[in-house]
Amino acid sequence: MKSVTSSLAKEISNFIPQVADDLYTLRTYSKDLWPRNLIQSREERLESSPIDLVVWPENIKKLSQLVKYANEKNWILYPYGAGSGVCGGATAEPRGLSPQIVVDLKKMDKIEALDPISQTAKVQAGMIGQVLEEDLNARGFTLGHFPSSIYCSSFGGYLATRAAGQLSTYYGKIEDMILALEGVLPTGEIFNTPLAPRMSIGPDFSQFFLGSEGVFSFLTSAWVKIHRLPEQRSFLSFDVPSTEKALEGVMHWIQSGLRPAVVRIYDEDESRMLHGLKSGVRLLAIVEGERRLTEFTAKTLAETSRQYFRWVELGEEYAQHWWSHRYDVSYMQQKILSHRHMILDTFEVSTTWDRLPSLHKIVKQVSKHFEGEGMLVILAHFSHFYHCGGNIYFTLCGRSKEEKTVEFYDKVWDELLNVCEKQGAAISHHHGLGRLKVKSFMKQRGVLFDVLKKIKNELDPKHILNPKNLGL
Amino acid sequence: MNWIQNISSTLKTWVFKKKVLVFSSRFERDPQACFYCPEMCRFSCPVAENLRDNTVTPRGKMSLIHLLEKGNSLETITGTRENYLWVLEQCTGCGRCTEHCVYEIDVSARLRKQRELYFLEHQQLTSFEQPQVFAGAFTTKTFTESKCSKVECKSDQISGTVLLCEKSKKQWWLNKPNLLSELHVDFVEEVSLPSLDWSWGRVSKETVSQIKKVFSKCKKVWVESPETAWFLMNCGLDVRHVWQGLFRFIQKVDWDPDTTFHESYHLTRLMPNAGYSIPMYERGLMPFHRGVNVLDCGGEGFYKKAHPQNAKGIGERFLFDLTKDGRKLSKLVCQSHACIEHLKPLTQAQVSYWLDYV
Repeated sequence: MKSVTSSLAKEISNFIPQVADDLYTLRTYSKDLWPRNLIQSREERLESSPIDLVVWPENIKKLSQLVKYANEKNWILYPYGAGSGVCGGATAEPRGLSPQIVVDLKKMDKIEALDPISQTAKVQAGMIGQVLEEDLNARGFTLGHFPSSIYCSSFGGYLATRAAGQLSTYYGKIEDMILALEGVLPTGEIFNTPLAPRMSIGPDFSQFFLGSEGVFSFLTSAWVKIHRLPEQRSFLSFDVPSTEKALEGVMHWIQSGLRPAVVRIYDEDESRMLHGLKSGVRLLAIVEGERRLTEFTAKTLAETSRQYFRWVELGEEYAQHWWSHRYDVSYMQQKILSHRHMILDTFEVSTTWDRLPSLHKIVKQVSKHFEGEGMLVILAHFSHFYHCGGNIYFTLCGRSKEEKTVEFYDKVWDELLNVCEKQGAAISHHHGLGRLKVKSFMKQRGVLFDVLKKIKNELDPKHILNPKNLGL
Repeated sequence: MNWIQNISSTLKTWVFKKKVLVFSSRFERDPQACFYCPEMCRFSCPVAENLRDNTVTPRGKMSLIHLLEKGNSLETITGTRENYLWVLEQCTGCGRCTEHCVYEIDVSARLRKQRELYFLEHQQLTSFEQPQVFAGAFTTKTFTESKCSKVECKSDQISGTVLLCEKSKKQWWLNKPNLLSELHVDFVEEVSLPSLDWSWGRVSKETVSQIKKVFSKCKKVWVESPETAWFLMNCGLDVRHVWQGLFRFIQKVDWDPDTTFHESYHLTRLMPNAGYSIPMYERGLMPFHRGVNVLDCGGEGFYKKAHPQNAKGIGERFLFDLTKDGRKLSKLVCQSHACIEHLKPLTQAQVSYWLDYV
């Protein structure tokens, strides 16, 4: 075990045994996986860490004790899961007057209870997504939440950012899976939201705390819906003349009540780069669940695509290939980011069906705004769909002409967020806001942002919890 | 002019896309690749799973090396050498991260190499940290020259002589391999160490004689940790010390698919507070559900720590879990002294020591 030297560490280790204050731990925990952090680490010299301590509370009581103590002493606390956020939500602020402590929740990593009859489970926040899924699978169940970061992200992170998985069109997003939450308020009180399949007892507190990115509370566990492991999985792949045609077809599927688990439309550029298409776009669909329902859905998808849309049916191969490499996209990061001057990031927005095509086109044109300063390529795919609309997942890859890559990165983001704001789109579909999208968030929310500030002041009067995240 | 600008812009973008493809095909792999990776193998690492500490995920460990290779000094990155070594040592060598990595980066080999480099570089070290002085049953004499402690163990149950050099055992071992004979250390009959870094705990006379018996068949004993080397040397064995992941080494042996390699030494030593298997048991899971074929029963110390009233009980549960799901345990391979005492009588399975396979 690491030995600790600071008096702060010794003070806390009286009631939380695992603490660390060595330089490497502090450096590691002061940042998350926000690409801006990686670019900074690549191009700049190491700076001293802004945090003073990392602690690993083992249970909610210890956490509550720590938060109460921190309130008395005016210590700043940063909730931390796996640190895989890409918007800087768990990146510590520069050092101020108060000691800054990162609270790693990964010691709380069990399935506390599982009810096979109601198909619910109480899951602790520190479980890594893949470990949670494997544990549920071993008992015959699945959560149905498969973000591409599943290997490296934690359940608490899903709650904090209102995350979505790749199979969300069938299983729903994290907010659809949650029945009740347990956590610790910034003043140290433990809270539980009521557990019921649905209720009409005033505002829904579970939904209030979801997506609050560690500014309103520590979320320590949640009751979730779980599902029996799927009996069957069917794969379909199509070539479609254009992105617009593909969107029209998918809208028809979803609005007619069909629920494929996965639908992915790669736009013209991404289809060309990833699938080698000379024209048109590639569309992949995967259906899973109970055998007869799966067969029916897959058959209907194939029939409608053939009869009404006249898409080229390609069989199972491409969808199966995607399925077996569905998490590999995260391994692309190092190929690009390890080179000087390069930037790489993703931007996921959502809007209604009527505005999806125009939003797609306008955001793609942003790449032309940076011709003097560097190069920018924007690829896009559509991967989450709803009755009223869907999301667009943009991949940004660029190269700064000059040494100031971080500035170039910031400019690109400012421009992208401006464009989205003007279009009235949601600036984040499932990555959250963090410190990256704060300015746009404040502008977009207007008077409601002031409401959030008042709530923050009430819940966290000393502003000890993840200060400045979400602009609060 | 607009159309000229458009063509020029399209051309530039096309060239850039080609460049991206070229970039992505020529990036330097480990440890740079790990530094920019979003920790895709963290869930597969038993040490990271156990400690829940981001500095000991495969990415955390490799990033440390990357920062060093970028020209940062060790002191700037980790503060102290001990912290640096501590991170490098948090690897069981199981190789699961390599299996899960698209680029198949051999993290354990890279860490091993880094440890070798470190020790080669610091071979000439002469100073040691102040030894820890043990109270209670022990009386202590300090050897001023080496700053190591020779502890006379005297109590009703303990007798013998132990040489300690707390926190700097590794440096001591590597720098002065003949120190033991120089100091005329006696045969160790029984050791009781309060250090959490020490996995052996109280070792019975029977165990020592068992170790001697087993190891005496071998011409050379290869061990990974200096502590073990020291211990076995005190048992009168000719020990060769290697910086090699034993698991990787052993996993290269062609295994009978029904054979489960039972390990209770390395993980036990690395994870003194909680062990690896016990949290798994508590979760109702066995490690091989995750594809782990290297199991950690916890050893004597852990049975006692986790279930003080029923040390034998957890051993039984271990074997029950091991054999459920129709899995037949035909052979139990052990590199520690513990299972021969606890597990063999329970299972009647053939117990082999890993050295038989080498």
